[in-house]
Amino acid sequence: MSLFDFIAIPLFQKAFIGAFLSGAGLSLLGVVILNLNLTTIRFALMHIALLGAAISMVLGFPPLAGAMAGIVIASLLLGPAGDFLNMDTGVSGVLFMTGSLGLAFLIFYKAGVPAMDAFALFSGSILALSTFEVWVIGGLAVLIILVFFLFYREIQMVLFNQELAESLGVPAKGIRNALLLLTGLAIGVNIRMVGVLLIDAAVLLPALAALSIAKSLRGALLLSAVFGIVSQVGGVAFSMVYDFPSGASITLAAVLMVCLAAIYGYIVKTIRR
Amino acid sequence: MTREAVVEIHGLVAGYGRHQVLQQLDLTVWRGEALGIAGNNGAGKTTLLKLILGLIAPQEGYMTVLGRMLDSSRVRRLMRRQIGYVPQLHTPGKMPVSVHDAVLMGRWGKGFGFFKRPSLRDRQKVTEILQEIGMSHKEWQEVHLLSGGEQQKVSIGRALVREAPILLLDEPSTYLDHGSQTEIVELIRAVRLKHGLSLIMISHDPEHLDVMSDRILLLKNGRLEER
Repeated sequence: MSLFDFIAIPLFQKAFIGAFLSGAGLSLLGVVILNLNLTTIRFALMHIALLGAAISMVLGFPPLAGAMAGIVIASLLLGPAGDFLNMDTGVSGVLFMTGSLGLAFLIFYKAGVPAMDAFALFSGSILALSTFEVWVIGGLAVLIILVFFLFYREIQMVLFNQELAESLGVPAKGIRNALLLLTGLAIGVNIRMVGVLLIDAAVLLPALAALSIAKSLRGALLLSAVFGIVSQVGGVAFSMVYDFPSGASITLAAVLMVCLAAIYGYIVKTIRR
Repeated sequence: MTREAVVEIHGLVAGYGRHQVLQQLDLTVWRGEALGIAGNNGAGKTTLLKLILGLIAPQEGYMTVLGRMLDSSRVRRLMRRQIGYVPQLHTPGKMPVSVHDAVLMGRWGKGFGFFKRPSLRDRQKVTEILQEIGMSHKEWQEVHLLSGGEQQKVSIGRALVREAPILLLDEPSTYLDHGSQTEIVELIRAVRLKHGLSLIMISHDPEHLDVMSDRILLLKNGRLEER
């Protein structure tokens, strides 16, 4: 089957649309994660998703509902908890991560819920996206782009130096907490798309590539979106045509983007010398 | 002619939780004065700057900035617009920010803000200040590629672009090499005279303050003493 044959099938159309929207919108948050030193946060949120799923299953609800609720609640709490404990948000994330994992295993053991059903959440697939999930990804992508468009200067200040932003009168903590919430939602949605182990490919790698060559935050955001779209849509297309797993293809496409950006950066630097 | 106080602090007690850093502190800073505050690390110098900036609230006592009592978070946020702040030199992160944008940040709350983009006037002001601090030639260079002295100039530019009558400087020349220190000291002297600023500078090393200050106070055991 050629790529065009695949595109004609609704199931694959949804995968392409989901990949495009995720690349265009959700990749932008990688810039936030890298600049606010939140790389531990995504692990924390994944484990909190597991705890949410465990609680949800004990209460008789679908595990995904609990996982998303857990991510939203934790995203709202991470910033204020770090402030209260006088810890860097990344460090408080470690506390959330280990604490939630311990609690999740306690619940699995005591309540006798099947742990594998909760862990199944971690193996997402872009080909399994429902129409509703595509709408959710689209809505979130639009929200993220809108937030960056409306509050570009304020976000720039918070990412540059949070304390400085506060001293200029910018409500830096509020903006940081809002970005954390969006990051949590993006991670939650991406878990469904590529699975938990490959989430860095969707969220972090496009931003990593963009930041290695961009000269401004605006440039980093635009490049992040471009790399996100190319790696996600390109990865899905490659997986269809050559019959590879979609998550792995997206990841490898994103790794390729980082390598190409690094080579480009090196060439530019050498020429300037 | 009567002297006008730009900052007045009376009986101020401040700290973090039960740990009191400043105890019954009194201070008056006069318009046009350059005040240096020295003290060892942990003496509470940065806490004092944060109080004047309104980033933290005192536990006891009161303080005014330009005659306005800082008695609510709204007033504290509002009065921050009257203060230019030069923080300690920090290692910039990975995010690429041009010198122009880094200085433009100082116009937030003054020229632009939420749902209000920087105007031509804001941009012109940045260009003027960059000329004044001798950084026009690096306007579009990324801040993290600059030397420590140049980064400090950008910080001073950002504080100046606010057109605020008070300038707070946290260790303005401490972590710089000798050549850059001299440049920064000269720059601070020049901008003070040109803009008629009142300066409050803190440093753990009184020698750094000597050349820039009219008066130096020592922060010791939570109180200010004449040196």
